[in-house]
Amino acid sequence: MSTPRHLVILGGGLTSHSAALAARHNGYDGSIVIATDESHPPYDRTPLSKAVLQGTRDTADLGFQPDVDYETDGIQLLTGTTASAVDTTSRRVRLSDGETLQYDDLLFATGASPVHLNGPGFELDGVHYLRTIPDAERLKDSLTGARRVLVIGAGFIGSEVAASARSLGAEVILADLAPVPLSAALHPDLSSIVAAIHQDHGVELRLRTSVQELRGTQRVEEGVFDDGSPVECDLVVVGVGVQPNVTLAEDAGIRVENGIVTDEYCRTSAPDVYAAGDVANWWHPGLGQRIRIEHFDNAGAQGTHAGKVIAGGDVEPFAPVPYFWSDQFDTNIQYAGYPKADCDVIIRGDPESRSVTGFYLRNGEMQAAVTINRAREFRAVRRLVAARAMIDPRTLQDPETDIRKLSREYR
Amino acid sequence: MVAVLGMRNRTQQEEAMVPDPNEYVEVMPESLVEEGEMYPFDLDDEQLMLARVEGEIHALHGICTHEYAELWDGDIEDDTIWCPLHSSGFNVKTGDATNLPAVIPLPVYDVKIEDGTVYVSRKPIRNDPDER
Ligand SMILES: Cc1cc2nc3c(=O)[nH]c(=O)nc-3n(C[C@H](O)[C@H](O)[C@H](O)COP(=O)(O)OP(=O)(O)OC[C@H]3O[C@@H](n4cnc5c(N)ncnc54)[C@H](O)[C@@H]3O)c2cc1C
Ligand code: FES
Repeated sequence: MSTPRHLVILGGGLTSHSAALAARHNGYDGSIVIATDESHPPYDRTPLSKAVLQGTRDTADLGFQPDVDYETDGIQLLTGTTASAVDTTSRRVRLSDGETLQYDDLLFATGASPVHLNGPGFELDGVHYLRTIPDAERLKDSLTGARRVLVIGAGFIGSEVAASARSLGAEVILADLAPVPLSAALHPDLSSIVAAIHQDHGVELRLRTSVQELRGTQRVEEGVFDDGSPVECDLVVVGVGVQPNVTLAEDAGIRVENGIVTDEYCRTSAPDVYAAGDVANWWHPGLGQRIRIEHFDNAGAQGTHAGKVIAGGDVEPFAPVPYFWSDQFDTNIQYAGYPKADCDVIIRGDPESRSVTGFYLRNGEMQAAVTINRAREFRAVRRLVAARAMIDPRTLQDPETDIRKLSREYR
Repeated sequence: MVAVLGMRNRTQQEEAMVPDPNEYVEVMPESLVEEGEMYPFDLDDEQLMLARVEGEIHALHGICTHEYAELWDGDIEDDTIWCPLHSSGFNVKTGDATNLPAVIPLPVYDVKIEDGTVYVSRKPIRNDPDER
């Protein structure tokens, strides 16, 4: 690079962290500035609903750079700094403090924010959302004295918070419109096992219903379901999903459609403007469709990819096998792949044992797989998914089959 | 983590075939260590493992530095050890954490092969948590 360029990264999550380091380590010799509205350097959110709430991990050690700071890599980190406008013609970002940043390359890594409910009573004290360290610290404090916790939404965050609250000894009611928890992510044969695990631990599931209203004088005292029945609670956690933080991009005239639209190189509709992580709705060439993923592994990998693209040079199109995990009670769930509709799901293992692997097959080809309490098998299973292996379902189901051995052929 | 060793005169020991048992422990016959496989063993209250990659045998701490997982239940691909629980990656030679969520490197131990037997150093030669 002849004249040094200026890279500006908006947002301070994992995507931002990974992109900044990858750009620097792949030869970007210009300035790199991260502007984040949070007061913390980029950190790992995944323990917030688990170890942090359970009190086994401190919010002070969630950083991705335990031994070095960003300055060492020549990365300038502006915390507590909100980007308030982007002009893609003059290539400037306006910041909340009135300053402007000039860019040659711009990355949107603005992530996603919890969807808020605004029915009657949702403004009462004791109603929580969870995305950030301050959110987790507030929730943790409130959980200490809580007796009955109502969790609205049985997606990953809701289910994890329910498990953490229950582990701390509270009575927990987990409510969702769907007939099972994790309905958006898992096939019913698998999500029903997760439901059973919650029941094993004494979580009260209230499914196929919605909480219409919260009541209380100052603090929340009860919720009201759509059939009018009340449920007593002294704490509410809402986990009904997230929405990508796209306003800034949208206002700048960048193409937005369920996230900032990008190609397989993280490029948006504006020149030298990129997006990655939870905020991006990107073209996956292997799947032949656009997808938006709200998981840790994708934020790291796509952030890294964006950083490499921005640094220049030959970069492969971004076409990973999507991956995520969730931990609830002592259950580890891992998922590889992105199944299209109408897959057959083959279950290996006895659901009663709460330890199964589910394979999503389409025309015999493995599209995705999930392990529930079978981490030992997971990497092998992931390899089969990456290879789109065609294996007889009877072989997959046979307890005598050693999946680890079987997968070696695909190494 | 490992018992601290006093200063001693090592010259005589170094000439011997068998490494000094105060510094190295015998693990297993080299011939049983298969390519691409991991083998757990205990050393002074710690759980370590051997891993063979491209013929070479490496010794590393066996417990993931992210949360708690036994890495020998994971997988080796090229020179990366993958944790079974959340897919952290560690370089088998350097112990470096190469894939998040783990950020702390894995202690690496010295390996000596004498007379067809694998010996591993009692103290890490890299990423010693006592020196962090
Ligand atoms: C409680 C919790 C638990 C999770 N657990 C798991 C798990 O177990 N497994 C898993 O795979 N995934 C998990 N995830 C998901 C994972 O954390 C996300 O996918 C990941 O954080 C996405 O990273 P990101 O950098 O793209 O976005 P984010 O982490 O959302 O970061 C975006 C950043 O941009 C900032 N920002 C937004 N707008 C602006 C602006 N205008 N100016 C400046 N800054 C701005 C935000 O404040 C934030 O700092 C969890 C998430 C949460 C919240
Ligand atoms: S315990 Fe190894 S990656 Fe989490």
